[in-house]
Amino acid sequence: MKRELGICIVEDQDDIREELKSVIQSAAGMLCLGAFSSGEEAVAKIPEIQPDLIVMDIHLPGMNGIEAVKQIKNTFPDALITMFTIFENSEMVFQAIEAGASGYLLKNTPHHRFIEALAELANGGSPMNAHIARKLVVKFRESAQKETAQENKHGLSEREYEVLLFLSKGLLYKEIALKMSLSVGTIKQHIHNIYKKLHVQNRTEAINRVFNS
Amino acid sequence: MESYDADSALKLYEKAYALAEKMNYTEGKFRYARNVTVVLNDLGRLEESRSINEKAVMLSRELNDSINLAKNLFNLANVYNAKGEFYTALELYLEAEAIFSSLNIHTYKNLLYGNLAVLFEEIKEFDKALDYLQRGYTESVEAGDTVSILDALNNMVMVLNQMNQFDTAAVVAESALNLLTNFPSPKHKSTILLNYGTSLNGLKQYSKALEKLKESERISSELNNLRSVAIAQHGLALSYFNLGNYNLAEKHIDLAEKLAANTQAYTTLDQIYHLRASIKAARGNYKTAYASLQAFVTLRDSLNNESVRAKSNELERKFRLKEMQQELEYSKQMMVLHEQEIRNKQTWVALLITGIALLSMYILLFARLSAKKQKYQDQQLKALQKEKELSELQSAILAREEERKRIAAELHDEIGSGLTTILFLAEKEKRNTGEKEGLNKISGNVSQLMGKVNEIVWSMNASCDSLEELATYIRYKMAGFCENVGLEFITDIQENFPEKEIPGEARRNIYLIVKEAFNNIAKHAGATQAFLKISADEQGMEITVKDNGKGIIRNTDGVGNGLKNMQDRSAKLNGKLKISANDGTELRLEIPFEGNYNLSYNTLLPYTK
Repeated sequence: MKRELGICIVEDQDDIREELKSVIQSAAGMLCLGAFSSGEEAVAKIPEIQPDLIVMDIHLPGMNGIEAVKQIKNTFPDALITMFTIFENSEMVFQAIEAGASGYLLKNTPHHRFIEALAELANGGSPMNAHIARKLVVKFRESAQKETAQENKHGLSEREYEVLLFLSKGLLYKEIALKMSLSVGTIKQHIHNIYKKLHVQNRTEAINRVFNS
Repeated sequence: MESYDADSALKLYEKAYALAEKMNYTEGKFRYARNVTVVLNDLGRLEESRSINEKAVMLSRELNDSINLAKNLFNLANVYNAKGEFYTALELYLEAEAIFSSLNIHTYKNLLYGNLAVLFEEIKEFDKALDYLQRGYTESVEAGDTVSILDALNNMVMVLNQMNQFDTAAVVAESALNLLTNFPSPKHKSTILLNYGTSLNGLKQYSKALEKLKESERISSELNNLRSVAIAQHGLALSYFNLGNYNLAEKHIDLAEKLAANTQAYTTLDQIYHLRASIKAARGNYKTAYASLQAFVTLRDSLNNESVRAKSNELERKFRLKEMQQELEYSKQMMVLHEQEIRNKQTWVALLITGIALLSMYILLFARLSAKKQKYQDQQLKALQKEKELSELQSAILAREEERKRIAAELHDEIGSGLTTILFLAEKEKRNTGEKEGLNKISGNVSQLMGKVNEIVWSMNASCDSLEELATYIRYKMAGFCENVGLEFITDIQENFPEKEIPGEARRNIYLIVKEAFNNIAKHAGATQAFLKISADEQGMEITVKDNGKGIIRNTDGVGNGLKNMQDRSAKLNGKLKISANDGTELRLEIPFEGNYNLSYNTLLPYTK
């Protein structure tokens, strides 16, 4: 039998947190391993719980969600974190992704879609939109300039970079799949890899900056 | 991981440059200039670094390449800053900042503020330095950029030290060291320990200072950062000097001087001369002390430091007294030995000559100091005026952005989270009571409202102010829309757009016109396909929305209103909206850029392409 999916929630509003907890608990194959109302609490407890997935609100009183992502990733590098946000184009979603989150989940997603989205996330799906893709392309280009004279795509494969460029032009997954003659599943896999490489890149970039600044 | 091989890095960069030259690849040359500068600066090879950057600046000016010009100016400023030629550095930084601001580039501002702070610290404008550090710190915290946070904290310690606020400096240093336990960075650790050592020296905790400085010296040696080693050696000398151990103090000051001279670290060198003068003076060797002090005064080219003058006057007085005493002793001996022959005359002549010599030396020294002070003040005045003008421009931009940020934040905090709570409560009720229909309506409406708030937040986000962002957003949203309503979505969107700022209000109006057009297609056209074309050049932009439906039916409910809304929005954009029906309906929106004040935030602000 398949193991149950362990999830932790970080959300400061009681009504939302409790409801989200019930939704997860009542879904088949999912288990809520912890529901926290502050970033500080989450940072202290989540690394011990080692959940499969963390749903993290961005605006939290005290330590915000971005800082919490950073700190959790420090002690629990394999943590799979999705930001729980009202606004998909906010600067903070991108900052959270830079800090180590693998995508976002919109708060106005219908409840039945929540469970699907969570399951998809745990299976390696990492949602990305045009806004995030654009920012990533800019970021990659900028740091490529800082590095060597040759074009550096941060270890992204040609295919992955192509997917990112299409996304940054505002194409949907389905449209990209059609253009590249691939399945939507493969596109999702590529996006998942882009996130993974970005996070590895972040670590080396931090080291490089220390020595070159 | 702990060190990087600077020489092989240089060789690699040189190869890259040769290749860029061969291929006539300008961008490559700029990158080479920037990369090689970092290494050369670290190695203290500032002259080479300066000449490379100067060429890059010239090239980017010739090519009219604003972004690269700003980056190269910034790098050149760094070199002058490191060389201690602060006025030139300040001018270059401000020019770079003006370009970054006019291009709306925020990425480099962090660094720029940090470096400006260092510069003001060097010219002893500590309040300004702290101000820039705070700006940089706030930005870094917002960006969650730990490296920049550490840089800012480190510089704060440095500035607070200079302001003699050693207790505050020590607290900041401790917190920076705490931060470093989770974020290991040897370079930061070494500099923070270095400045912490200075604070501790100021607090008269000399033994603790020695401990921190030794650790800093060890790390900097490992990193082969000779400048930092020089500063640490200076700090060690200072601690030993204060502990009264002049032998060890001299040993360390010798090492410090050698390293500082080799790496052209003039600001360190002048502190070294200063300390050496104090050590010599403490040992009663006023002549050497005075020589060191002269070296110090010569070096401190554009600095206006009262304490230096006071100290120099005091030492000079001591030196003069001692010389006079010696002369007196000598003349007494002479008098005893040649009482008959010489008598008073020659002795008095000798004394007079010495007196005149000393007096003229004093006058010369004083005149030189005043001339420097005047020159420095003129320069500073000019720089301040320039800065004032710039800051006025900036505050206009900032005020505008602040207002938008405030509204966006309110939208989020108040409306956004309120709507979310309603949505979740409705879902809870649905589960608990089984009542579906009414609650589904509520959650549907709320969810739609949240989508609209999302659009407003997008239009308020200053980082989305480009033509390209607008096209991407429209394309992305309409693709999703067509998917939802089952329309085939066909696009023809220009590959690259000119760099043009489209402010939030205008972006929102353009987006809503297109959205309304798509709504109409879905609701009324009976179409199976929707077509979107976006193109733009320097003169203006054009958006076409087409369908394969049955054309417009004017009397249908909603369409009339919708059309009027679209016309109103188009008028706000100084645009032209044409609707024609042939095979399906075609809507064409044309927006001119030239002279279109509805597309700029503030006509007083220069717009640079």
